[in-house]
Amino acid sequence: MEPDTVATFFALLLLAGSVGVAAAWVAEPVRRYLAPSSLSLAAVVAAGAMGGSLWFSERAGYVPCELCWYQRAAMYPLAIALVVAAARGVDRIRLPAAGVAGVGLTIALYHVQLQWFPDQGSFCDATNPCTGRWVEAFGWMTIPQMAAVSFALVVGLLTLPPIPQESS
Amino acid sequence: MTRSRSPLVVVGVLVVVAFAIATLVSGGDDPPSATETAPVAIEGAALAPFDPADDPAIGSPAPSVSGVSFDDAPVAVTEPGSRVYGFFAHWCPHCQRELPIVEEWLDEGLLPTGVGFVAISTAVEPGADNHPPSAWFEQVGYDGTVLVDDADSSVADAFGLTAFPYWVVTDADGDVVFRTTGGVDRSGFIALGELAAG
Repeated sequence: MEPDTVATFFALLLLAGSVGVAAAWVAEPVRRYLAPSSLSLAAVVAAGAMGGSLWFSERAGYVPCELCWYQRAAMYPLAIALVVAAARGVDRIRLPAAGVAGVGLTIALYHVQLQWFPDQGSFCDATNPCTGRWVEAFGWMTIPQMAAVSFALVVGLLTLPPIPQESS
Repeated sequence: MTRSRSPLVVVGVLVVVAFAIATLVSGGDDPPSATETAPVAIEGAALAPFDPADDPAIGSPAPSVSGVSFDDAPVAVTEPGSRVYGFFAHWCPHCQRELPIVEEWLDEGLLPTGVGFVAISTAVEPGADNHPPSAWFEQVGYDGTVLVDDADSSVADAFGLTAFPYWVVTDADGDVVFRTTGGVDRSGFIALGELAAG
C-alpha cells in the first residue's frame, strides 16, 4: 500500500473523528451518545495513531525526526495505557492521560508550525529533517498535523463534560 | 457508567469506509517521464562529512562524477576546474526557496567567468513534498547543468553532504576550497564564485 493511500485513510478518519468530538462538545445529544464510550474511543484513536506512525517508519521507511520521537514518547505509552484502562473500565485514568496527551499536542503543534515556517532554521538535516513533509493527505495534511489532531481528539474525548443527571 | 458498543461499531464502519475511499482516491502516480534518479560513476576519494567547525576536506580533491540529467543527457564533471556545486533536495523547504533565486543569479551572471555551476538533484523521496524534482527544476526554469544522483544519494555522500542545501566550491585544480550548508544570500553566492575563481 502506498504512503499516500495510508495518509488519506488516516486523514479521513481523523477528520470524521474531529467532527464527531466537536459535535459532542457542543451538542448534548451527541455527547450522550459518545460519552459512555469516550474512554474506549480515546484508546482507539491513540492506538490508531501509534499504528499509523509505526507504519510510516517501519513500512514506508520515513525516519522519524527528533520531534517525532518526542511525540511518540507521549503517544505510545498513552495508547497502551488507554487500551488497558478501557478494557478494565478504569475511568480515573482520564485526567492524567489527558495531561500526557496535552503535552504531546503541544509538541505536535510546535512541529506543525515548524513545517509552516521553516525559516526558523536555515537548512534541512540530510537524514531526518523535522521540516520535511513526507506525505500531504488532500494536499495539505502532514504527519505532524495528523499527530496533533490525534492528540486533540484524545484530550477532547477524555475531558468531555459530564452529562447532566436527570432528576427522578 | 453504562458503556454503549454502538459508537465503536460506528468507528468500525468508518474505518472500512475510509479505507475504501483512500484506496479509490489515491490511485498511484503516473509513471514519471523524466529520470529522477540514475546510476552515477564516482572516481576519487570521498570527502569527509562536512564539519562547519573545522572542515577536514579543505584542500582535498573533489571526486569526479558522471551520470545523466533529467532528460537522460550525459553529464560528466570529471575535469578539475573552478566550480560551485549546489546540492538540492526537492522536499527541503530551504532548497525550494533557494533554487529559483540561484537560477536568477546565474542568469544575471553573478559567477565569475570561468567558474562553472553544477546542480545536483539528490535525496529523492517519491512520497515526499515537491516530487518529482524534474518538474520542480522545470517549473523554476533552471536551464543549467543538472546531475541526477542515484537512489542512494551516492554523489551527496561522496561530497560529504550533511544538510540541504549544500554547497561545495573547488578551485582551478579541482581541490575543495570551501563547503557550507543552508541557504545563501546574494552576497554569499557571489563569495562562493570568488572563492572558486581564486
